[in-house]
Amino acid sequence: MPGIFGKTISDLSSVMNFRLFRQGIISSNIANMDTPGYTAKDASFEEELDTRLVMNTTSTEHMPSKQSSMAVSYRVNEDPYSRIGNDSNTVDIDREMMKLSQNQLLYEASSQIVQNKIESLKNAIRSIR
Amino acid sequence: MDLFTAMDISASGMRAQRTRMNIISSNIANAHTTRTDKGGPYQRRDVIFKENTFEDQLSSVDVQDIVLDPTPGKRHYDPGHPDADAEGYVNMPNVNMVEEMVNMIGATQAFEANTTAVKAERDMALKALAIGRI
Repeated sequence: MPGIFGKTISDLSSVMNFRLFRQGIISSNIANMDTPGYTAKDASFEEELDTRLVMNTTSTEHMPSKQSSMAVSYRVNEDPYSRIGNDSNTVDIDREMMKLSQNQLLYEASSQIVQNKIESLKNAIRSIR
Repeated sequence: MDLFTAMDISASGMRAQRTRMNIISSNIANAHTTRTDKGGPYQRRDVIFKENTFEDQLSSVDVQDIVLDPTPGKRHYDPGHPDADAEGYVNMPNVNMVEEMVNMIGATQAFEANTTAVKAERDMALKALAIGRI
């Protein structure tokens, strides 16, 4: 989404979409904490994000930055830090609750930045009289 | 998926734990029941949870079945009891109070964990809505 909104808002909305998806994965783990044989899952995105956040080149003299693809995908893996209980269920509820609030905070942080961004754009528009 | 998907998953967890709680309650209520429609003493019940995977590897939980516990109950010596056999023993239900209490604590905590998740999702939805409200 180019133009006045720039790349930031579209990147932030990707992050928010990912946080939302991860919230679903964590909720699945919590809902299945007593299901025998269930393996805890987690979604990862951070690696893809690193390759996506590249700098723009405004001059041909600049070093070329690695091209990023617009498609953002998340991977769902087994949670490597979970423990195995006596019913082969690998959900560690304390860890899941920690992940839940951490993920919620990061979602809210992204939404806060989007809000600030829009607010500053609005301020810029208002200043022109 | 949207925020309501995550809420639906947590709701499925709450529903499953509530069913488990109901079953534990009926086990405790019938801990001394010696007569049933099928004859014989009350048999302890147990819930079977099953993972229900849908789109994008997200999975809710279903109560797949409610099964009877086949372990034999204690035989209680009480010759005056109307359900006593020829030797004076009464077959009691196979309900173990301690076990039911431990299960009850587990179900309560699991229910609360799901409620916390619903609260987190609600707060997230409100924060997302706040973006448009400047």
